[in-house]
Amino acid sequence: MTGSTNINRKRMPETGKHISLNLNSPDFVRLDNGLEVYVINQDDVEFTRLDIVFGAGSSIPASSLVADSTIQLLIDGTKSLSSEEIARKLDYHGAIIDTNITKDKAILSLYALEKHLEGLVPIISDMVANATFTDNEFKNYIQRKRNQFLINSNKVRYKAMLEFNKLVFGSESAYGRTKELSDYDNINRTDIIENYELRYSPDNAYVVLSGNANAKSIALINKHLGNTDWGKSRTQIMQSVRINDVERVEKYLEKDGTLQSAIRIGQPIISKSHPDYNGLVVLNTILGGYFGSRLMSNLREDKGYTYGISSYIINYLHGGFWSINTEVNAQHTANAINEIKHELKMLREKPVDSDELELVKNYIYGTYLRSFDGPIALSERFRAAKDLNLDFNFYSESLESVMHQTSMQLQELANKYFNFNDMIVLVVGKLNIG
Amino acid sequence: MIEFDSFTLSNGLRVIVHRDKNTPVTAMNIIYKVGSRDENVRRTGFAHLFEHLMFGGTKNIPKYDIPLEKAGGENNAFTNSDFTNYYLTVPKNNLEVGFWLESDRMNNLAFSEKSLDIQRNVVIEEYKQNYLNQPFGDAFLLIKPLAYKKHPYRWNTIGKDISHIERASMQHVKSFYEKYYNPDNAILSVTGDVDTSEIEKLAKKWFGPIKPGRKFERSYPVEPVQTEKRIKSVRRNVPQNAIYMAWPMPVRNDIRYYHCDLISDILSNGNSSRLFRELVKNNNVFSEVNAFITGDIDNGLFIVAARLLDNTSMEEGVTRINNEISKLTTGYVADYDLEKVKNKIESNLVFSKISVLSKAMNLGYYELLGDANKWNIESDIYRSISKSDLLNTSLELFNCDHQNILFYNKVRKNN
Repeated sequence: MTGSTNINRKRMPETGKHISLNLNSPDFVRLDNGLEVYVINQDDVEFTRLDIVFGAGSSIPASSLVADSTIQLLIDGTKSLSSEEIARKLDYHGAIIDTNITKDKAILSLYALEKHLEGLVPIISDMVANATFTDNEFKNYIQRKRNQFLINSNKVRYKAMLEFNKLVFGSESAYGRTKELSDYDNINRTDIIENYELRYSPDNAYVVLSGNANAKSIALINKHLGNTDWGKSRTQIMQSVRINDVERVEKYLEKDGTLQSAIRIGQPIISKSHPDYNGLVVLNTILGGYFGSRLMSNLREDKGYTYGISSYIINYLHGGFWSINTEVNAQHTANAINEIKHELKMLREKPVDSDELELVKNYIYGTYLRSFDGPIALSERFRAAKDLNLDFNFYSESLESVMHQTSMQLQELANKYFNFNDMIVLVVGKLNIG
Repeated sequence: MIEFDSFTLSNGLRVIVHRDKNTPVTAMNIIYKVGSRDENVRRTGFAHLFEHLMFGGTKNIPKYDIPLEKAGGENNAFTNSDFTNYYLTVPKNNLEVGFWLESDRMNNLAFSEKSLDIQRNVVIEEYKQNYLNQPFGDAFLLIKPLAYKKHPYRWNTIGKDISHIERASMQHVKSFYEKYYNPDNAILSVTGDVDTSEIEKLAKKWFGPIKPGRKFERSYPVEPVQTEKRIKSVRRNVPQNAIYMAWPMPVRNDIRYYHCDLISDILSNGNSSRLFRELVKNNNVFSEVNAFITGDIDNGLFIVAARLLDNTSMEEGVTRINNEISKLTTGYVADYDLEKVKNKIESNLVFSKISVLSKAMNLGYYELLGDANKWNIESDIYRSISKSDLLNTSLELFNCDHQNILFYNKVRKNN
């Protein structure tokens, strides 16, 4: 071995300048029936992703179970194809169909090889335009989902997620409503059909085509999804989402025999267009937004109370929340809450030192680079911005603003937003251990 | 087709390089050829606990994560029965930080009692979070020792028991590191906008000076052929009854492994699959049912898992699953079925080549199987499989005497 021993293993190799993000806005096409299509094309790839986004999220119909059921049952039968026929065709073409729901939107996604689109797009368009929601499919679906709900209700994390949502948005508001077991017994098939007829129309939807999204595919989409047959006169209901003012509460839900307690601590939070937002992103990252965060370093790496703890900001169109989320050794529930309190206090009382701030800024830059890598990732970022009525430029402006945050600004924000006494505290599990 | 270059350093480190000029992110993946099957029967869960300790810092770099995060990178790791896998992504102009970090923890891990103490607790919480405090979470902790009697696959990667993790000592940690964490027991793969000569230079600079380990033979007790059906029954606080069935299957490098994979897809990949159609949709027997293979390198398991609707008895559940299996053992596979599952495989292989990280992980994994290029020919292997292959393998696989059944009963409530 020669020449290779004079390396300095103590010193970190030089790092380069930040690489700029690839943030080209998607191309825009309007189909014959007025449906908006956004195109993120990279023509040297073999796959295509098609997302159809409906303004039919879980807060929009009267029950979130109706919203879920509508998007998920879309794939289970049309006027001309049974659920099984649809499944056989999709599977034969090696396609993956996925449905997703947020508080604001319901999304149907197709991932497939570009060469199979011709066999697939007509089926997708049929589902969207001619879904039947037969009684059999409806009953079978509700039965399965009811069982899943029962299983999930045994999980402290799931119970905490539902309960926190009620507390942070107000259980009577459109965002605060969550599923209850009784919803599965009370739901009617006609509620689903009504939701479908009112909200699954071209003027209440948009499409994102990403990956290999060539001219031929766009023409194919226009031929099927742009078909005017789909544009039946369905009254569009303007959504009105009311979010209640919520009160600060502490709530404990006892769960017998649990080994871990789920803890959620948080509060309603500002929107992404608020001037404090980007500073709060930095502050949240420092607190619990990455592996090296203060909460992880303290509760996991120093105390060993938990396998993981994180904090995050979630924004929807009409409101959002910030929350700390963890499952801890039940015996240390109270200790864990005290340490969380302590970390919030530290952020209020002591300015973040420059090393830590620098690290977090670079870390956030890295997450941006990764989340804009490739057409699929780009399409997800695009939808996330669009669904909050934000311009695609939001991301580059936001990153720029992150890079300019100072310790002083962050400390001010911590004093404004990170007061434990203003927060909702929820524990599902055990609190008082003898 | 994923093009790549490969080379081996003089200390035995195997390196695979793939160029993807479209991405600003580079990925680095390191596989160490050690998993839970290499553990001492009295100290199970150790390989995974050790993976946690690899983040505890070195003499030169007190905290692994901090410099990587400073360089805009992110990382994680996982352990399974066969190997331990570390991976990171970092902006392409900071790739050398990855080489610095990974080579230093291969060379010179710091062993601190505090780190061991804390990570024991963290792993115990992981054990509770993912296995003990979840409905059905312990099913695999039960089915594996039922299906294996000799082979170390009989315990799960997380460990047989929490007490094994509590018992791990510093002496065990040190000798484990010395034996397994060496360049000649590792595969490094790098993907992104990189060229091979640059990677070769970096690999020689950072990994080159590390000495190879002492040679050892990786061998395991052979699992005796199962001669009669095994049944286990447990009762737990869950809302539904469940059935888990397991059959031993061929090793990863056997062509019949691929047959088993397709058989599991015919049974349960996608909404048109047989188990879902017959037993969930057309007849209300189960609320969920899945068939899958564990994917191990040695003889793994073919598993069918089902959650029963309230009006389905355990006996009926078993009969219904066995009926679907007997369709396979009597050769009931249409051209459509076979073509469908092959098309699915083809799509999934394309999807797995989208991300730069997934490419690094897969190249490393296939190199571990013997040749990174195997990834490129997977699709052809699946394409060449015929209906009679599936019939023959089904007959071998679903031998009644090889069946293992776990009945997972819900607690009867009085209210």
